[in-house]
Amino acid sequence: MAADSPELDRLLPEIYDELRRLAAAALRREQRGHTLQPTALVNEAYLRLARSPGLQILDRKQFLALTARVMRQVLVEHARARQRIKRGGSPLRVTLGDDLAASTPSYFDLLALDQALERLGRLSEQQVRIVELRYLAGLSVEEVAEVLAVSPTTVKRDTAMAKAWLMRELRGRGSDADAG
Amino acid sequence: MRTPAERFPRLRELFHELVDLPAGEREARLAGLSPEDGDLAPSLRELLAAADAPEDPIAAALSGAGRELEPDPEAGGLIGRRIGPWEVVRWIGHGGMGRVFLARRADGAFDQEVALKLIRPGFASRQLLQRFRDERQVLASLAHPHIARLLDGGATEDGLPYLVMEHVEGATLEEHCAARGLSLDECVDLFLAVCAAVEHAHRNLVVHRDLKPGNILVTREGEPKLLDFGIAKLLGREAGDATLTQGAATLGTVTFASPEQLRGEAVTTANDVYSLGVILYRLLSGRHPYDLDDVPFPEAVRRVCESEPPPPSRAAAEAGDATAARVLRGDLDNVILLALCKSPAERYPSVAALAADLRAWRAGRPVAARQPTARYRAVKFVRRHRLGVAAAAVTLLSLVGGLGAAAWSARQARAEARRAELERARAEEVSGFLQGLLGATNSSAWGPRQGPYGAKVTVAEVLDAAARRLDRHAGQPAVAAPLRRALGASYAGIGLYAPAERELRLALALHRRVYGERSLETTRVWNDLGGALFLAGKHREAEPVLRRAVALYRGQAARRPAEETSALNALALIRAARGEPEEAERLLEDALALARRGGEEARPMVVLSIANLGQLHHFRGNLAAAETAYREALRLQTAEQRRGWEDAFLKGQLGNVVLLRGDLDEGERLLREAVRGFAGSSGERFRWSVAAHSGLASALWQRGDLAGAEAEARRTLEIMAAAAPSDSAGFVAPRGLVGSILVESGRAAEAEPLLREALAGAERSGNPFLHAAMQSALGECLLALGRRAEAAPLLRDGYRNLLATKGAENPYTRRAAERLARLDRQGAPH
Repeated sequence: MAADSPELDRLLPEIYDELRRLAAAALRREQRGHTLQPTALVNEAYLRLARSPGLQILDRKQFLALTARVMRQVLVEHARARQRIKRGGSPLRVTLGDDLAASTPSYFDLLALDQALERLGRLSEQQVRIVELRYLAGLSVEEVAEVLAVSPTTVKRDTAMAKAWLMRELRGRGSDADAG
Repeated sequence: MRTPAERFPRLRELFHELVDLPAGEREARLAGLSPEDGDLAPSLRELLAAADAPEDPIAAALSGAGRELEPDPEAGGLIGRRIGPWEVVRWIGHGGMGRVFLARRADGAFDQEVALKLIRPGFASRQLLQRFRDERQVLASLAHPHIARLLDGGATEDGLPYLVMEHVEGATLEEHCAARGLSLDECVDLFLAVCAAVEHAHRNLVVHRDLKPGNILVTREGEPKLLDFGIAKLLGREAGDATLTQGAATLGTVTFASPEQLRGEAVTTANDVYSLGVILYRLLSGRHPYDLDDVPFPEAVRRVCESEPPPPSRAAAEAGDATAARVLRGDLDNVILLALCKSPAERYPSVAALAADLRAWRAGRPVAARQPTARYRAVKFVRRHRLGVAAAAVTLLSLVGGLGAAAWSARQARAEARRAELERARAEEVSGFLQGLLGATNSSAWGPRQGPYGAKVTVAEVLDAAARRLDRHAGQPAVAAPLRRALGASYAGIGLYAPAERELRLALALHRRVYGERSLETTRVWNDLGGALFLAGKHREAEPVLRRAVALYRGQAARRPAEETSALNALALIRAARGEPEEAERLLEDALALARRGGEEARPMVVLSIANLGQLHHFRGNLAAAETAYREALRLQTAEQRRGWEDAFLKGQLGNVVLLRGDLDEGERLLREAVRGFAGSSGERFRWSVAAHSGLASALWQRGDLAGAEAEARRTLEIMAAAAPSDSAGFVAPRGLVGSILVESGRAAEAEPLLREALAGAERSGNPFLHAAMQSALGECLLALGRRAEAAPLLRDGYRNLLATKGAENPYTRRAAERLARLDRQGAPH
């Protein structure tokens, strides 16, 4: 998130807090739908912030990048919170019953994914941004291409590579451990 | 050994190269990796193999997380807890307002299961409790067999407000009808029961505000039950609901919200009429009235507020239900569409009226809903015929277009626009529509056969007749308002700005009266009027009007980037023409930023704003910036623009810049494409091809093809001759070009009269750059004719003035310097 104006620095916390709140609300809402629909979040956030003085100086690229980043953080925080609760033996285990047992691994998947993305970020900032924009801000290939000012083909290929790289990371590092 | 970070860029390069190749080629390429890439092969193979796998690890992790996210981690902590006299049994669901639990009386006083809604913090206020007490009377009056009763309200120990309602077990209305395979008649009967419940609430002055299929459950016994009645009132969401407009809305909310809710206007019982219309539409046709799937939020709002839903019969036909389509066609279409009118005043006046019509239909009697009213049709018609963005956009470019010369003269734009292509079809449509609308009421005076329409009437005559007819039938402001606007737009479209201004001013007065000053409708008329004044060259009058439009757009609940940026572009060009390029640039940057936020609808304006910025740079001699802008505009063009004049125009401009930069090959290629793109165009756009032809002439000249260059240059003169009076400023540059080519070809005597005319035209235009360039060109001609004494002052002044207006690096300045040097070499008199 490029914050290159003092004004932006000043307003960023405000926008950021609002985005966090919306992201958390969106996640709770989506709980029943079984999927994340980040596009709705982005749209909602945009509408909400459209008239705040902060957004006037954020361009669309910055806005989308910020939203995707916040979404990722909120997800990870939720996952961490859940992990803590489970370790602490909260009554949740009882009330959620089978559902919880069946799908336990996904939290760890998410945290692992976050860490893998961190590692990927050291190799290719662009690939991480593409992943965030596509999966967490819900943008299409063409939209990501526009935001990052690269060709759609590049976006597609970088997505494929990030996916492949992450898959390898998440399955335990491959034979050629230092390759990535 | 390189570190992973060092190796990654090359790994990425190879991956990109190989990933889309067929397996065989990929393998061959892997086998043939150069030695320095050899250590990457294992990683590359692994990554490519992983890329071919169908799994998506990212989606998997995220969807897992989405599925697992607990509404909030403390939810479970409430199970078994006591809230007031209620004991929480289990979690049922999660709504917009908060969590819902199944609960029962803790004291076992009676054995009834209830739904307990725990209102989420920040949503309701501390006043909820007080309101609940105040409204107790009203809530009691809601007792109706089809309304789930509101039983209790209170606050938890932590101060969270809650509401307790009758717990209903059942399927939603839509699920029920589908699961039982109910016929259309049976669905309508069930819907009538829903109407009865809503009517009952309305009689007790309670508006639901949030009716949607999910709020109507049908019990196992087949009885519908409406949930959440009275909640809006308790939550203090009665007047001017801010939650929608201020962004707490989600796409789900928009789906069922009425246009007035989305606009943040007062919500009345008409809101429930609308919602019932949506519910009935879906129930009977199987489709939602608007296509809101995967639509960005602002666009969804726009569709609900502005677009006309297709008749439900058509929706059913598209969904493949021919039987439903047949039954719906006609009366039921009319009934549903009447409930869905954009303006509350146009809908059924009450739910009772809607229900009465449905009962009439069930009984086979005629329904009250008719084909849409005159006003409705007028509004709808005008919606299809916006002057707005497109017409203004077209002409904006022409102002700064051409060789960068036309920008100076407002007189110029006016003279050329008068000769613009006539939009006959459109004007006739307006007129025909008026005839249909008004002629029917007074056919003796305006019968189509006795009317003033001979075989050969001009578009202007048709419009004049329409305007006169409208003057005579001034009775209904609500009908006249949009028609005046359409007429004004049509006049502006054919370059008749005086009557356009008259109609738009009348339209403005009517709109203010009918819709109010700050309404979107009125705002649009301000914008149209500003555009027409601008096109007419009345910059001083246009400016405040356009400013007003911009201010009003900014006061709307939802921004209209596509429209607002049109006004901003016009304002920018007014500043540019006035010699305030910095201000023009600022306005264009604003327009661009706004258009970029406006989604697909505003994309043409993104392109246009960038193009205008490019022309501003071009005009100020910042060729590198101009080139970047033109290229970006070309890249961002919509499919329609790519096929249209924009593509040719932008390529022509870019070609000229590239040529000035010295890239003869690319310049020539672009200019040829531009010339091809303009082929077959006419009117004003035809005139814009001058820039492409003259650029191509320069390119050929630089290649030494003087005959070809002369032919292209003369083409520009022909085009101008067809488009403008011979003394207009648009002729200066073409004449200068032909003249200079003739001088170069050793035909200076032939060139002299042309260049003198060009210089005179340049003087008249008041454009210092053109004037200086023509001084230098004529000076060169006279030098070639050996008249050094006459040539010397022209060459010197020309050079000096070019240096002053364009700087030393400008190609025109450099050319003038060369000519001056020639004079000096020949020993000029000092």
